[in-house]
Amino acid sequence: MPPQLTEAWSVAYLQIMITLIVFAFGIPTFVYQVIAPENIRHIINKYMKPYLKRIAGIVILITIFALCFVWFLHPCTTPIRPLNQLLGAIIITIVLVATPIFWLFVLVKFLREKVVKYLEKEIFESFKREGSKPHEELIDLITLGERSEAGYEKEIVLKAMSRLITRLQEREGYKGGGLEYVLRDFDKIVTGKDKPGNESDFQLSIGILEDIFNRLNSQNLSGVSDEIFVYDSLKKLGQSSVELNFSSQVILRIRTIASTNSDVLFEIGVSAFNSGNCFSALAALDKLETLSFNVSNQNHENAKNEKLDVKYQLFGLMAHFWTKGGSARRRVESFLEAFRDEFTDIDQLLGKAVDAHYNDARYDTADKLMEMRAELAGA
Amino acid sequence: MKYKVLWIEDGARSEVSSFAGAVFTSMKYDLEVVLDVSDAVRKILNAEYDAVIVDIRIVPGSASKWKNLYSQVGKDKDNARLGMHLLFSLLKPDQAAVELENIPSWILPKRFGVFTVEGKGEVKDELEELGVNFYLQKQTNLPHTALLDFIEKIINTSVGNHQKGGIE
Repeated sequence: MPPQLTEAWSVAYLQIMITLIVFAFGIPTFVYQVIAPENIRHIINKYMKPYLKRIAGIVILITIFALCFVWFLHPCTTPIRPLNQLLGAIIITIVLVATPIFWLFVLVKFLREKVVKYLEKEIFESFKREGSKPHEELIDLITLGERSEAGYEKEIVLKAMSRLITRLQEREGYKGGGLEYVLRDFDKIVTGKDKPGNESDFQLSIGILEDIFNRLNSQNLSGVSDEIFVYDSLKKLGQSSVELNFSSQVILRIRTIASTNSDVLFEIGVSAFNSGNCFSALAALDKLETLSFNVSNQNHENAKNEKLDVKYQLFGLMAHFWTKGGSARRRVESFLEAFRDEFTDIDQLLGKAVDAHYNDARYDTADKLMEMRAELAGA
Repeated sequence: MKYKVLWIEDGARSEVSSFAGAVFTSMKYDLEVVLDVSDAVRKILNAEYDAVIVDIRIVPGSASKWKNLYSQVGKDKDNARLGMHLLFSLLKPDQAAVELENIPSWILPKRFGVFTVEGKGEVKDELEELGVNFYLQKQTNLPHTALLDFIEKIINTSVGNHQKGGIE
């Protein structure tokens, strides 16, 4: 038989529930036990399982007790019509169960931030204690980011990574190395195949990498190992962004940051071209051309080797344009015509470029270069 | 060697790709695009450009002094007009809201152009005050070569061809 709930008692129960909801704010970890998204539940459980079990037990007991009290122990002093009695009981029961669940869903965002901050703190402490290595918490934070939804959820992880990297770079004794394990899978947070980030996530990631460069420059650290990992991350972000067909701003920004790295420009250019994103491919080709001229005008000791390397990348990307035919080939023909004085022995240069790409196992590019070379020789 | 050009522009996807494509195809200019004032300042203080194209409505980026200025005007890039503030910081530091240190000597009004949605009447007085003669309004009917043509006008002046610039 449903409990007899007068207006006064109903109000009293609602007040009690509000108190319980406020209490729920203090036990946010319970949320994960009940409704944490499947993709991150194992990480939450790993770090908070004992605490979660206690909290979950307490909340479940309180809820059962509240329901028992309303249904069985509630004092019945005033006669009420049966229909009112039934309706009152149903409404109070639904509200009693639904309200905490609603609030628990609201609290998910807060709890995600809390776990991310915990991991961020632990990673930094681990780096201080044990130095640079693939710390378990670091792998978990990146996994969490990779499995998070695009937008707000990924942003929480990316901002934590940004703070962590800043602290690691500003540590006493930082000499431009040590970010290898932080950066090695950094791109996966937004480039993961199952849950890729949105354009804003990509821009945030690129900004983090740009900040690393800026800090290296401000500390007069260039050519250091961390620079290599930043370039590698930029390359992966660029390749992924053209496949996801993001706005050209993403590529133009990477192009500006990586303006002196021919490998990044080449790889992004080829990916863009193969994805049918001709604007981004052209942006990369144009920058490689500029870089090729800039290196040609340098006088330092390594200029010769660097110059050759840049030109191999330039002609490698050009070969993709060339073999496509039509307007893409026209762009290459215009370049070769405009700067023919720069490339006096183009056949020899193409031959060396073929070997360079062959040795790097870029067979597709090597084949296209051979095709271009044969056609230019026959022209 | 290509002429170095900096374009400070945080516009929509169509604006950047449609105008920049012609610049890349021309093979004449080394065009760099930055999206906010902080990045622009960093670039300008660290490298010399033959031409700098500035949009008036841009976002502050990461530098606190620009973020503070942006906050003071309600975080609205249309009202903040940070591009104009940037021009004052570089070309008229005594009248600027944000002070910059170590401004390079290559920073001269003739190397700057404004490419923006603001009408001529909205910016004319300030550009005259700054000595910036190159202005182009973003409109829907602009040809795709508009940016390329605009850059050529600035370069012709800044590198010494003495072609007369002027508000169009």
